Amino acid sequence: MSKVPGAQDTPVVEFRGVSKWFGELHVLNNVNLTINRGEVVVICGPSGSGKSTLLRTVNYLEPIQEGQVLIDGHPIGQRQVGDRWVEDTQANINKMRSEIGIVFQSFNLFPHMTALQNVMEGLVTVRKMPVAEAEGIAKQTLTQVGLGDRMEHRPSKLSGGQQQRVAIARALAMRPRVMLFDEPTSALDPELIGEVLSVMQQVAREGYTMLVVTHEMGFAREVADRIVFMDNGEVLLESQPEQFFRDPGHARAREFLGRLLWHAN
Amino acid sequence: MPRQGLVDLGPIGALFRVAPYLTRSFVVTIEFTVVAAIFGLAVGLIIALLKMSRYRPFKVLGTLYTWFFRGTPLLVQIFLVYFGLPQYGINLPPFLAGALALSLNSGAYLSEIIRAGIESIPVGQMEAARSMGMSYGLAMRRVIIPQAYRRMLPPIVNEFVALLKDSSLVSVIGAVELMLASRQLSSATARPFWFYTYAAVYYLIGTSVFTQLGTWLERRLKDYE
Ligand SMILES: Nc1ncnc2c1ncn2[C@@H]1O[C@H](COP(=O)(O)OP(=O)(O)O)[C@@H](O)[C@H]1O
Ligand SMILES: [Mg+2]
Repeated sequence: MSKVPGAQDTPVVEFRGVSKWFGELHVLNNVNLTINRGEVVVICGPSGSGKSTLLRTVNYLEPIQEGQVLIDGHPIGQRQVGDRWVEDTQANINKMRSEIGIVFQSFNLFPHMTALQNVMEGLVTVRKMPVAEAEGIAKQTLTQVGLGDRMEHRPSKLSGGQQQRVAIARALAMRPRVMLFDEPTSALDPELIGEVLSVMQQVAREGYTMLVVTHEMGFAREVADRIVFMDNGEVLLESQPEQFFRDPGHARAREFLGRLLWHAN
Repeated sequence: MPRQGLVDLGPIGALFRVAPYLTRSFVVTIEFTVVAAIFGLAVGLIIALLKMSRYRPFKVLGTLYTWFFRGTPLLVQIFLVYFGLPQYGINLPPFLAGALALSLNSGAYLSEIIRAGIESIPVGQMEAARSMGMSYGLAMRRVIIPQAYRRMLPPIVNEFVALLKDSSLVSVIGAVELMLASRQLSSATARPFWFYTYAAVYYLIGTSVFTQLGTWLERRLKDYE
């Protein structure tokens, strides 16, 4: 939706033959996927299919055993020495992580800090930005997500929806190359889901590149440029939302959608 | 030390006479406790980090440390430092030897408290911190420790209370703190019941103040959340 017509496709995140095992368990099986600048890609699939793991390989919270995940062309967590690939230095990994925003299902806000301090934290301690400047950006970002009047509140004094919006602001304040969302509304009471989805829609409208794991099919239909269906660690299909909801064209996906719609009604 | 006529003064009179001396030696006891608490915390933090390390040799080292210092009597550890080390040319005066043994010992107990406190923080906190690009150390300093120390505080205060009492053991290597002072007075006057009772009262005051301080701090930190 946010793609500029005629604009060149510039890959921001590229999975190239990504495989990962947890011990014996093959959680990611040769994943190949490209997310271009300004694109919103929704990943869905049954529980345990590897969606969270795939998302977490992008900022190297999960290392992989085969393949590469490239951010703006740079493989994360890997570095070439001669003709061998070795694990990248911690400093490089930290640097790349600071340019990738992630929003977790369980918010993971820092409970000992106010909303404002949560949003400022990365700017001040990682980016080494002067406090006054960081505070300006943090206030502006919190206002954008509709929390201009909650800046001095600690997370425990905020609703789940408000906490998740602070978490989105915390990631956005770093001006990331890509925003990752891992089931951002799954821990919320139903009446609080809407406020978070509408902030995410607003983020998409601003042109952010987004990779979103969600079961909110309304959001997928309206906001996604592409839908990716995963099962058993494999990307089974990628398609346009209209096509996906008309007929995903794959038995497993059809079954998944059927179950989801059945529960939703 | 005015020993003459102490017995004739009776228990209360004697207490007033020796109070300044006992108070001075109690200050030494407090000094032992504070020094061992500070160095013990430093040792405890290092050992806790070793035990939580992903690197196996570090883990093993940390575990061995705790195993030794919790599994052997403090008295043996004090003797090892004070009598054992001179065999290798390391001669420490009683105060230093005692403080060192106490620090190493309390470090083992404190490392368990620190580790449990840190591990009680949900993993999502570390993941969120690292995801913003923080190094492990920065994440510990800014995110994990500030949350964990509130939970660690009550058991740490308990450990300090135990330390205050355990410091009496260094009397055996001749560091003149409350216990040794009381023993000297007891044998000079043949009135051990009086002087050990006074010592007990001093220790009780010390442990009560520590405990109260802990309760007060705990309440303040609760308000904060
Ligand atoms: N840290 C881990 N150690 C071992 N197995 C894991 C770990 N994390 C996830 N798994 C397993 O990997 C599979 C994929 O998990 P996940 O990526 O969380 O799936 P999804 O997000 O699609 O529900 C599941 O079978 C899960 O049990
Ligand atoms: Mg998941």
